[in-house]
Amino acid sequence: MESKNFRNAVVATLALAIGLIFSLRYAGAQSGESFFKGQTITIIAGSSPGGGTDSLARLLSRHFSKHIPGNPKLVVSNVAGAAGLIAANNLYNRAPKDGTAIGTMATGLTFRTALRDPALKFQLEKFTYLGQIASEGNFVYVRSETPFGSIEAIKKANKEGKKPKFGAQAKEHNSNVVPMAMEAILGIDVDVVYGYPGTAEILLDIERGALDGRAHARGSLFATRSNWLEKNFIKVLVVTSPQRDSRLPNVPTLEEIAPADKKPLLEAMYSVQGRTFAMPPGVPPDRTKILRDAFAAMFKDKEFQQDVDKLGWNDELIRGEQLNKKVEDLVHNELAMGFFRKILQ
Amino acid sequence: MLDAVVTATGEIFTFSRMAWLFGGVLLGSVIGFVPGIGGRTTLAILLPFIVKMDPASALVLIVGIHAIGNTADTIPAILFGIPGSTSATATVMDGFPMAKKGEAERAMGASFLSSGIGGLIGAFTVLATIPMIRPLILTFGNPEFFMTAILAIVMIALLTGGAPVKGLIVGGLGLLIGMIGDAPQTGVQRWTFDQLYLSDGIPLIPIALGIFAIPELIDMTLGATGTRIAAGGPITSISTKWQGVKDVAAHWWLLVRSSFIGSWIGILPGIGSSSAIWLAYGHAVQSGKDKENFGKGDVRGVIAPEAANNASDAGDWCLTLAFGIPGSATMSLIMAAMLLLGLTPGPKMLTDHLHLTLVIVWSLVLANLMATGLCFAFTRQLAGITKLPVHYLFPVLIVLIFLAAYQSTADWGDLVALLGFSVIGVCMKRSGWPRPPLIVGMVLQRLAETYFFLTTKLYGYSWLTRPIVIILFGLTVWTIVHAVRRHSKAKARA
Amino acid sequence: MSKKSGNKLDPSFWLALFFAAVIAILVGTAARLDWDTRLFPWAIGIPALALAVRQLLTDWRGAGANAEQGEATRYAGVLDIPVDQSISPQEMFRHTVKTARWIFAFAFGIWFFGFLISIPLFVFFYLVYEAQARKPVGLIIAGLTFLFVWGMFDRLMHLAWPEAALFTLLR
Repeated sequence: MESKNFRNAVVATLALAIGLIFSLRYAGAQSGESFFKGQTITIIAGSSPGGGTDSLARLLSRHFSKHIPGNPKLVVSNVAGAAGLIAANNLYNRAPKDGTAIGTMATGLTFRTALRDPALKFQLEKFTYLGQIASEGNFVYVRSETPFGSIEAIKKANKEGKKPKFGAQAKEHNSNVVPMAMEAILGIDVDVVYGYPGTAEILLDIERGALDGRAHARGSLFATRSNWLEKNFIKVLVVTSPQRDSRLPNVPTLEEIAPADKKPLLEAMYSVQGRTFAMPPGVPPDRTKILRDAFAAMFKDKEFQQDVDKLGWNDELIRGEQLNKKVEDLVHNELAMGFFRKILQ
Repeated sequence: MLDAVVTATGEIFTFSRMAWLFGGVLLGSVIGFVPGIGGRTTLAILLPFIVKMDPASALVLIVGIHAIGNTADTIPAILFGIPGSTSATATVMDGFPMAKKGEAERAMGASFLSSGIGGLIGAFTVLATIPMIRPLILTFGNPEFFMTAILAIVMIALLTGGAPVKGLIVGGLGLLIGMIGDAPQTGVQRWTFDQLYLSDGIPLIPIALGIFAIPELIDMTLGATGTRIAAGGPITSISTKWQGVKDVAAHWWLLVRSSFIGSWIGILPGIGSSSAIWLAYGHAVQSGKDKENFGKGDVRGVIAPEAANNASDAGDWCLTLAFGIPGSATMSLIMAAMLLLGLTPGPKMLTDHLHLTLVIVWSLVLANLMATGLCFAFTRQLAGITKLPVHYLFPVLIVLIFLAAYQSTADWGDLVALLGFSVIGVCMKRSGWPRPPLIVGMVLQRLAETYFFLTTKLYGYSWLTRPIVIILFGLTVWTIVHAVRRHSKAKARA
Repeated sequence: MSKKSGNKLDPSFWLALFFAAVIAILVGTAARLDWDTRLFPWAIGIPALALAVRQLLTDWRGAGANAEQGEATRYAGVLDIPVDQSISPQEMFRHTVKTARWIFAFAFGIWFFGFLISIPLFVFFYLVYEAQARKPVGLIIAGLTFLFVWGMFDRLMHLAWPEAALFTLLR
């Protein structure tokens, strides 16, 4: 009697085990389409709530889901620290590689890659890029009353030993990178005072006359100081996006006035202005494709575009596949990498 | 301006807006009560919903959630000696001893009422200053901000009238600890010893909780099992919240002065409530008649910081709205929310969107009243917590503290910092070293150094000749001299 | 060096020593930084070090010296929450160590098992062994704490929990 019960128990356990194994295998091999239904995708933001990449993460969390088949739930998890480095390390090494983890890519990571920072626990080009949704072209301007009202004027002043004083936040911030790029590309000399806690403080110092000008994100300038443009308080020298801005059609792009041999540096500068998302390496290709397509679909969404405008960015889609290639090229672009190293020195 | 006022009034006094306001206050009170978590967390969670609302309702909700944070963070500070946020640290000094004497209700009554009135005075002060704000901020440049930060640090370090040397050492240590991480000017890493966690500096919350909260919790459990927090005395008629109301009335002039201190400090970028509370507290000590009771449960030590705290809030809002300079992490989040609502903080808030700014002012006023009323209504129940056995509260509070510390950057380092600083905090408390200057030094460090460098880079040496700088420098020197003289007088007398 | 009352050094001395050492290390290691970066550290650190050394000397002369000058205890004039002076230092020390053991055990638990497991365990064991609560009461409070933590920090805030050592081992 007992041995029969025992046999039954063994058979039942074996059956259960086989059933479990099969169902697990089946779950793993779930086709991409049905995978996302009922799932939760975590968007890892590399800053604290309200900080830089946090807005980016929340933007995605608001609009992405409805374009993904299965409409998974999207939540934002904040992993602040080291300007997005800790989040990127997490994303690369610890986050699940099944398509349920997305991260915001901070621009500082490119710089650290250039510096071969040992704190980096990843290779920038090996992330599975989801795409870029926007870029932040910058206006570079000076106060009208300064003698620096054009590139030629600046060159002339440089010869007399004078340099315009620009204000910037951290070294890796656009407010510093763009003037440095201008120095390298146009051959002018600028004095960038960095360490400002925020963009508003730089604007105040320009008003006080302590600074001569700055590089300023386009949308942000129109949102905060459009009256400066109306009153001609400032003169905009150049814009750093690939096309001229329709609101200031007379301002040339950096690309237009850059000498030919310096054009590869432009790529470096554009890369720093992009707002990109990535996933860890090793996400199954079919799920990657689904998410990349959904990403591109989201881009056409009117509500999404309105939100991007409100944040002062320009929508500029770069699909994940192209982005992977771009990053790969950038990492091997010695001119660009050398430039990044120089900036952080 | 007048029609903006009319529009704003019309927009806020509708049923739905008032409902949002009250809802925000209610929600903020529940979550803000937990130490270390606060308005910022609530706002972060609700952000996806907030941005879908119309701007006026969204602002009203945000103000509601934010407003009660400064009132509710006093609750754990008084009941357990655990500040709900760094702006409640000064209230612990006298609020917690009052709770131990059985006067928790009185302390909370005084605190809530002071918060409420302080917030109102702050809001009206800022409103009155709005026309002057732009010229004021433009005249007050980097050199002036730097000197103000130095003055604040010196004043707070020297609050410890009887041990100025220890106070200055601890203040200096706080400044040095604040320098860990990347230098604001050069970006070079300082004292990080290759630890990634330290590259942003040690966050404030684990340190504040470690230095203040854990030693208090350890001391709380000193009695035998079954002791209550309020073991120090029976509940008498002077321990009710109405006594707290009478106290506020009796010390109304201190309340007003503290509110002004708070409003003015709040308007200065970066200096904010963390310093305002200590400056108000210090002012209460220095201007008070019998000073011996401070630190032992003097209700004035609750009234002053709480009034300053809420008053500084109004200044904080003003800076954020008019200049886009967030004075705290919560304000950064609020700014981000505003951007998503299509509003950009800056001069436009005082021109195109003036009515929305006034909606915020109205909301501040009303939210303050609601928050005060709500907290006041439940004071007796909250005070009842001090009658629970201490050993039952201890593990739960430890859990909350660990979580609050961890959620600053979600890193093991947060817990290491918490434990490390709790050891230091216990040692400091036992051997008579003042703890407050450490926190203030940390908070003001980045500011002081940033402004110092911007000053020298932009002005060379000429900044030393600016009139306001000279005045502030004189004040600093006077403070040091005054404190040293007081100390030697005390020693000579004895 | 007079140590008239008592042979023991004022405990404040050890803390002064610790602070002086920390400041000295910070100031010293800043020497290899460039001028701009070490300016502020030195501007603050060197005076602070000087004061710390001064305090060291004051404390070396002992609490006795202060008592002679009339400051009743080392706590005189220090603006901070007062220590309960009705309890003997030995008793305070014993109690502090005992409580610290619990806190560090909890920290270890978090490191090894993770937050969500060690929280209810810690609450339960403390209540039963220290607070002498009855087991059912302990279970209920531990359970409620767990629910609150899980609901608020996991479900609502999506806090990124760290990887506990146990699970790293199991991987």
